[in-house]
Amino acid sequence: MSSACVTILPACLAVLLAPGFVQGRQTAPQPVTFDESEVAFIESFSPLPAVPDDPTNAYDHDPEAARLGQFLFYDQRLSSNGQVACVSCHDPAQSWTDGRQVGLAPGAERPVERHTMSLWNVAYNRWFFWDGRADSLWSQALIPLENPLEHDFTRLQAAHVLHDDAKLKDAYERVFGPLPPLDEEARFPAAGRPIANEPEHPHAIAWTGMTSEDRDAVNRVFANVGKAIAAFETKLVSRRSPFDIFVEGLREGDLRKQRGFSADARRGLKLFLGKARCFVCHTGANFTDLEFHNDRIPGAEGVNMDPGRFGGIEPLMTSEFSGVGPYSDDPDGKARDKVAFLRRPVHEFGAFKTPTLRNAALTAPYMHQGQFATLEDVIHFYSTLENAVPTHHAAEKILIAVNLLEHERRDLIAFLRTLTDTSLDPALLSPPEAP
Amino acid sequence: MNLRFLLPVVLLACVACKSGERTPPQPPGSGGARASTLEPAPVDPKAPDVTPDAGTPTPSAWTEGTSREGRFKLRWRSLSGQVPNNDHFKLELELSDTSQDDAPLEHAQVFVSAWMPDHSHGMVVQPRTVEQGGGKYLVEGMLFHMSGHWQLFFDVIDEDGLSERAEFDLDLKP
Repeated sequence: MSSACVTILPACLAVLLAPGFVQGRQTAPQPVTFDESEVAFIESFSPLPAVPDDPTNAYDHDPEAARLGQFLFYDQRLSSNGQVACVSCHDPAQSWTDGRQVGLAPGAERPVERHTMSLWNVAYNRWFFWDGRADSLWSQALIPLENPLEHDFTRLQAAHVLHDDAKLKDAYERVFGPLPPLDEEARFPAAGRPIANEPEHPHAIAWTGMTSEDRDAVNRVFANVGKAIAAFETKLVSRRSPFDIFVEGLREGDLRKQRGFSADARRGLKLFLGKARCFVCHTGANFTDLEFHNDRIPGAEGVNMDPGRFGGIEPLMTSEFSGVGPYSDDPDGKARDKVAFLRRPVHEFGAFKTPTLRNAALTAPYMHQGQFATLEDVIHFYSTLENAVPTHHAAEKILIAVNLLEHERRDLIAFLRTLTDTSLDPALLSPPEAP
Repeated sequence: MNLRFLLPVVLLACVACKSGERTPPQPPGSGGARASTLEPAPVDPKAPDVTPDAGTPTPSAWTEGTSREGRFKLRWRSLSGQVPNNDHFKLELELSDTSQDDAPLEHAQVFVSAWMPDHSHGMVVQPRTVEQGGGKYLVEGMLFHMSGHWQLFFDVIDEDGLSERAEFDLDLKP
C-alpha cells in the first residue's frame, strides 16, 4: 500500500464516522452555538463552589482532624483481619473507588452487594451511600467499620487502637480532648458493639454489659473517628476540569479558554442540556440533584433485588449517629430540616442516589451494582431503555428512551470526559508519616 | 450553603386553576420560556444570591388564591425570599373564611403537599404546619428537589370539618 493510501484511508474513515455524514450523504457539520438561556444554564454547572460546611461536624475543616483522619483512612489496624482500611476500596489510584463491580474487602468471605462509590467531591452530598442511609460524611465513615463484610471491626476496638498507640492517642486528644480510660478492662472490653438482631453475639454481650455512661463515651470516640476521616475526605475535590475552564471562558468572553473545548464536547454538552435529558437529574455544579431515582436499571446477575432509598430511610431515622442525634455538633440546625420531615414515598422503592458526573470517566463500572462496564453501556441504556426493569408500584416517570444516534453518543461521552480533573495535593494520596 | 440551589423561581399563574395538559419540561433554548406573573421580579442570575442564612432575608411577595369551592382565601410566601430549587424552605401562610366576611381562619388543620405531574412524583418530605394565631400558619419542611413544574396543594379543614383544597402551579428553573 502506498504511503498516500495510508494517509487517505484513515481520513476516509474519519469522514464516514463524522457527525455530518448521515445515512450515506455528507452534510456540512453545523457549528455549535448556545443561545442566551443555554449559556445561563451552562453557567449553573460551574464553578463548583467551595465545599459546604457540615454543621454536624465541628471539625470538618480542622487541619489537625484532617491529618488524623487521613492517617486513619489508610490504617489497616481498623479491621479485624488487619488487612482492611478505607483505602482498600477507595483507592486513589482508582479514582477513590476500586474498579470492581461490587465491593470486596481484602480477606472478606464474600463481596458486598453494591458498587463502591468514588470519594471525589463526596463532601458535597446531602445523603451518603447509594440509599442515603447516612446523612453526614462522618456518620457514613462509621458504617463500613462495623460491617462484617468490610472492616468487620467494633467501636470498642477502634477506641482501643487510638488509645494503645501513643502517637494516635496524642493526635486524637489534641483535637477532641481526653480519651476515656480505655485501659480499665473491666469497664471497656477489648471488642464490642450493639447488634440489635444478634443479642447473644459476644460483641453485643460485651457492649450491653457496659454502663450507659461508658457506652456513650465510646460512641463519642467512634463518632470522632468518623469526623476526622470526614475532615480528610472533605479535601477530595475536583472542580477545575476542561469544562470549568470553558465555562470560565464563556463568562469572561475569553476565547482562549473556550478553544480547548472541542467541537464534539460542545455537541455533547448541547445534548446533555437538551435531547439526552441528562440535566433532569444531573443538575447543579456537582452534576447531581443529590436525591434518589428509580432508573429501572436491570439488576446484576447473582445480586439480590435492592429496595434502594426505600430501605435506607429506616436505618437513617434510627441511627444514633444521625445529624439530629446526640453525637451531632448541630442537631437543631440544617440537619434537622433534612431528617425531621423525611417521608418514605413508595416511588423511592428501587431508587438510588444520583452520583456526580465529575470524574465519572475514571470511575467505571457504573450504577449501584456496577451493572454497566463503560460509559458507552450507560448511554446505551438511557438511549434505548433496553432491558429496563418494569416497576410494579407507584413510580416516577422521568425516563424516556432518548434514542441517541451513534455520533450523538460519542459526542455525549466526549463531553463527559471534559468533566475530568484529578489535580489534587499529592500529600493526600498516601498516609501522612504521623497522625 | 450551596448557592446554586437558590436560582430564582418563576411562578406561573394559578390560583385554584387546573393545569390541564402540559408538555414535558423543556430545556433552555427550546423556546419554552414561561412568563412570570406573580413572583417578585426575576433575579439577575449573575447577582450574588441571598441565602436564607445570610442575615434576615426579606420574604418573597405574597401569592394569593382561593380554595376550589371558594370557602377559604389563602395567601402564602417563602420566608427565605424565594422558593429555592432543591433546598429546604419554610412558608408563611394566612387563611381567611369567606363565609365570615374574610375573618382570619383559626384552628384549621392544614396539610401541604406537592406533585410534579410531568415526573409522577411528589416531594420526598412531609411538611408540617404550625398554627401561629390570627389565621397565620407556618409551614416547615418544604423541599422542591427538582426543577420543573410543581403543583402545590393546601388541604384546609376548618373546625366544623369542612374541607377544601387550594392549588397553585409553580415552575422551578434549573
